[in-house]
Amino acid sequence: MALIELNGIEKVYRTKEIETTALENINLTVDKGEFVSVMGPSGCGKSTLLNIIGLLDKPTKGTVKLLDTDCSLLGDTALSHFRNANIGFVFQSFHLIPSLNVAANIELPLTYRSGIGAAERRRRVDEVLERLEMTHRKRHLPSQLSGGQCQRVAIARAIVGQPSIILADEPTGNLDSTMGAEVMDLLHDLNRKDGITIVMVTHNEAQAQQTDRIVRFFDGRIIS
Amino acid sequence: MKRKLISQMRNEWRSNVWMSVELIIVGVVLYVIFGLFATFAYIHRPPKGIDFTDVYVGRIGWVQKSSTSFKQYTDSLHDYYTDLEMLKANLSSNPYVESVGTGRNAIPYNYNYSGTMLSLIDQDSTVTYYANHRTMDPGMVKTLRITGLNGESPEELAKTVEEGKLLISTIDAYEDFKAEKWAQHEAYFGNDSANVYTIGGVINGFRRVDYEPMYGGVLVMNIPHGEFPYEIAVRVTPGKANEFLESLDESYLEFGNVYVSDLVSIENRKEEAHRQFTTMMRNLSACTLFLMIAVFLGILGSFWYRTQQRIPEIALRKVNGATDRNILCRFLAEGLMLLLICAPVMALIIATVLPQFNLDERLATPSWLVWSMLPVTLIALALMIIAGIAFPAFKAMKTNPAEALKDQ
Amino acid sequence: MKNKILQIIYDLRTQPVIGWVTIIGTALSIFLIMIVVMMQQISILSYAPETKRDRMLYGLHIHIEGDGNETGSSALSYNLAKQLYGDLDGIEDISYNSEWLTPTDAKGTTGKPYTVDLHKTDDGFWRVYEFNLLEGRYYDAAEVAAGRKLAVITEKTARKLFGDENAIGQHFMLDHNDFEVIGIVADVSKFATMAYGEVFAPITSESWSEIFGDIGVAMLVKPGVDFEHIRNQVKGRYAVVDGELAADGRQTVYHEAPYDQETIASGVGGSNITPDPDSGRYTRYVIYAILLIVPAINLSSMLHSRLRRRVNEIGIRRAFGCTRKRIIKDILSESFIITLIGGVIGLVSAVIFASYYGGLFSDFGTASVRPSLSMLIRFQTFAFALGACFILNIISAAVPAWQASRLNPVEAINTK
Repeated sequence: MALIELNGIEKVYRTKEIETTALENINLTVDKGEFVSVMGPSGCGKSTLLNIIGLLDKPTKGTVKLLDTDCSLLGDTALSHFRNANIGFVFQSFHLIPSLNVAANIELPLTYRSGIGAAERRRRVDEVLERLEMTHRKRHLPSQLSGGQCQRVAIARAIVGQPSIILADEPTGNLDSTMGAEVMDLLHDLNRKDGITIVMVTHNEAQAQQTDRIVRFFDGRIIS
Repeated sequence: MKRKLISQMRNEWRSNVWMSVELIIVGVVLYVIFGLFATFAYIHRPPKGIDFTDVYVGRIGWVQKSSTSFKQYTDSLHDYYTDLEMLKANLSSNPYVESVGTGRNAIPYNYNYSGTMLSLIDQDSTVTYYANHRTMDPGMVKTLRITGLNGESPEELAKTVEEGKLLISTIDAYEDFKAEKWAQHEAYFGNDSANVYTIGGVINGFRRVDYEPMYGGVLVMNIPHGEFPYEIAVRVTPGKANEFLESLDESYLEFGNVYVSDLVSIENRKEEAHRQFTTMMRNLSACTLFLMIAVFLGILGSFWYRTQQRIPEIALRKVNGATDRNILCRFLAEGLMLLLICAPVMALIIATVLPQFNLDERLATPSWLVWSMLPVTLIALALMIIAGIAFPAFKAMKTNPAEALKDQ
Repeated sequence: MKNKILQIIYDLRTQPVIGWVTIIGTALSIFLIMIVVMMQQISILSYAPETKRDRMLYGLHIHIEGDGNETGSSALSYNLAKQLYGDLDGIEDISYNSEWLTPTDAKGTTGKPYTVDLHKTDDGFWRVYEFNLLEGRYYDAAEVAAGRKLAVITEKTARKLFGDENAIGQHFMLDHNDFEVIGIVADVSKFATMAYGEVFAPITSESWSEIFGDIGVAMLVKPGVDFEHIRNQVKGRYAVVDGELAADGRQTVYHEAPYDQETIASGVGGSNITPDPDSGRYTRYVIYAILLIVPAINLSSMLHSRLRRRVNEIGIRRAFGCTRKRIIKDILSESFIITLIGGVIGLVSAVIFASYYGGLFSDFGTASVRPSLSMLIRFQTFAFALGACFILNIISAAVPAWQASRLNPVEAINTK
């Protein structure tokens, strides 16, 4: 079953002087439970693609269908709710909120969801913390954590809302190889055990090889 | 350098626009406040030709006939008037008292205004105006040391008043009214042209309080028979105020059915009468302070942020040989440029919007004085801007270029 | 909520200058607004003995124009006061009392003469106002009509005149007349401008002329009765007086009497002018506006600076499903907490300042008068302070919050 369906996506950035085409005629389908990696040189449009799948950016042309919903038709509020319910993000530089402690950072997506009480939120955060073996760091601020720990927290934040899709933009890019491997194991674990569909942008060929499928990008186009 | 300054200001345009709006609002309000200060300073002058030092004033009371303590006289020679004369004589006999006077609305620093229509008769025309009617006995003229414009002594003027002649005064607001020329002319009150008085002398006008314009001039006249004075004034030997106050007992303050109460120094009265002005000026000063602090905080906060943003740029400049002085000047130039841009807008608002509010039309202040408050306002704002910028600028100057660039 | 407070503390720690400028600016603004508010409230809100200020109307002054005798303006004679204000429909109670206080010499058993503020009243005075009678009783209608020399005095005056002796039943000299003390009331604050006095004695109905006298009328309007209804009747009474005066070419000049408490508070002015409570109100509005807008501009630019450091955070929040509305709501509520912190500091310092610094209210009396804490701290004061904080927050935070909500999430996430 196709979870993500991109049809004829085009993304053009316009400034006064120039027009840059970031994506050109992208058609991509990702099935439920797939782990797809996206590869390509810097500036080829990988991140733009991820942002479009993540509903953070709108394509200039084409349609984005997630979970059988045509998201091109949704307004900003509906998109926000959709993201909240179905998508988890993991970034290269973690993007934890520096003023919030680990628990509060993880709780973040749940606070934007209606009908979920404080006790339930705490329970879910504790559950995720336990799973990622981060319970002892619950009250720490991000500045007190190592890079690997930060990314674990970021992953915890991405899964706490039980999304069907995780979008990871070079999740190991800022980590050394041991920590990177740990993070990859975690992602595979989520993919296998929880059936979460993952789209990951990476530069690491070895990591890409471990995934179900590799989508290669060049100059805004899919080449394989 | 200059072009860079302007482009830098454009980068921060949003913050600069807000700062400008604030500067303009504060500038206009400060201008209004400073204008009031200037007006008060301009109007405030101690009265001329009258002397209040060492003068004590009080209230004359009359024991009513219905009162239980009313003293019944068996002979007809005694009445309120004779009692009052005896009381005055007793007070005058006090070793520390130089003179005693009584009056109705004679003493300034109270807000009564007794306007009387006075017509001055010239050869073939009359000049009519409302004068502030102050009735006083000759003793009051001496006690207040009223002197004439032509150098008449208080004693001479007291004699003039005693003869039933009038004293009129100059009027500040009407310089065309040459009070001097009316001496020895005749005059009458209201429409009563049958009863004619002589202008016995001309004095300087004195006002109700020192912060007010002189509405009409002063008209001094003896207390007509049949009217009871309610004010009493005592001139005390200089430096003997304490001895005087201690010596006071009932023998001085009461006679028959007349008594004196609430004797206070005229300085006390003055302070009380001026209280609403001092309160107002204090409140306005507080407002000024608040607005200046607001500008200071605004500039401080906004430039603090800019400095933080620009630390790499400042470091780069330092590496390229900019001195601390250059950096400080640059910051100051940016703040003062803002003020310079706002100044014409302020002037425009002052010239076009303010006049529609009729802020205080009674106070006729020369327009040069009011307008001169604009540069004063700008200087005050400039000082606050400099103070607000100095703090972040010094922080910027202390930036260690090597570290700042490493961060980058 | 807890996270918001942690966020604020974090902000304060990382950007101390901007944080403190924000809090001090807010506190200063609320401080000054509350000073102005309290000065106004003291003159219009009810407290003993003027406990029903919202239902009070005051008939003061008469102004007569024309030729001849008795033109001009002054307080009313007893007869004219009755003619203009007696037996109006919709009035619960009425008091005829001297419009101004007479500083009067009083001498009691302590032997020392004092100048006291004498307020001459009728018996209705004790019903229109609610004094705190500590001992004895008030004088009644019959005693007022008979011109009995009885006095109700304040506690402080009793102590001055009689020392520690029980004052009830004592005699003292008031303006050289023998008066008997029949009641003692709690001291009256000078802020209660209409009911204030130190010695209260029956008013004598003899006046020095047909028209002018020293009477002012205090009326307690029945609950729910429109002031205009009373004013219209008074206008009718003026017309009748005009009819009587027309014979000798005189007429009244109507100055919108009777006056409500707000008019009294803003100053009735002279007896020959129409009071203008509006101008006082407008001045106050302008002051509020300046006191709110100027700091709001500062606060707005501070908030803008703080938010520019948190662009990245806003992007992340958007990615995880925060709506634009929620961004606005969160920023507004977060800055409202800061405004409240500043507001509490401002309010507390305003109350302390107002109760210790008497000069603030020097317009009320000859000496500086200090209001009691119970006059300053009341529901309306808090409502005003809260309202001021709210408005300050809205005008300072609305623009930055809106801008933050419009940020492009992708760009925001990539902003350092």
